[in-house]
Amino acid sequence: MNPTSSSGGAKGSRLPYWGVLCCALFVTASEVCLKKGADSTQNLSNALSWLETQALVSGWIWTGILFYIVSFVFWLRVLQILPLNIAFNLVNIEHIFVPLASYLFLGEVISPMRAAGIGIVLLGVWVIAESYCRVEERA
Amino acid sequence: MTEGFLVLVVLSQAFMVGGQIFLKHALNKTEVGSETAAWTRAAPFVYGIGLMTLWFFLWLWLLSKVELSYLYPFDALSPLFMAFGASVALKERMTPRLWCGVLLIVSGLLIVGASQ
Repeated sequence: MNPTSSSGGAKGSRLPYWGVLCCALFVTASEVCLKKGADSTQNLSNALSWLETQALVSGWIWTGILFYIVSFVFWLRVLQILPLNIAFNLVNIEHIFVPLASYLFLGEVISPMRAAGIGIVLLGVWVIAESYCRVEERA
Repeated sequence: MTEGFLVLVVLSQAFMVGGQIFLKHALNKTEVGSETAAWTRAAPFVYGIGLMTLWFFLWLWLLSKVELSYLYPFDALSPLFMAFGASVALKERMTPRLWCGVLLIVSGLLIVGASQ
């Protein structure tokens, strides 16, 4: 059982981090799309052309769902390599991407307290990623 | 009045943690790589997807019933639940450094949840 796992680990020693990053980025993209879709539904009543808005809404929603599925595929690839505990915590980096994306694309404001919380999450993700790197080097 | 919701929130978190554990369990079996066990490998994968689906709809329903400010702390605690779940069910090793990271992430998420 050891040869297969170690060869997989050596071959994909860089992959988990790219996988985690892609997974988090696609989740962020899907959240932004879903939010755009949900927002468009709210002012559906006073929209000029109901049908056009409807098509646009479903466009955002479907793109959001598509991105979510892509992120799930990346998540499965990551899970094949990393222990669940490490992977689940590393993917928390999405909690940094989502506020950043909502600031950039949705025009939302990040309060200083929220920024502090995001900073602490980033620190926690770094602590875990860095400790895993060391384990990998030793192995 | 919120006690019923509390049970459901905890249940939804249990679905999520359980689902992820089943997925990881299924993928771990793939790594061992016994060709004959295709069906026994598929079973935990299906359980995992099933639990994730239950979690998704329960969570969506809770979001429509209860305020996000009540739900968010439970979501923020999920790395902690996952740490216990993975170490008990999958025998994954928890290093002090990993606990440290989990606690930092959880406290950061709780601050984000408390902020306006």
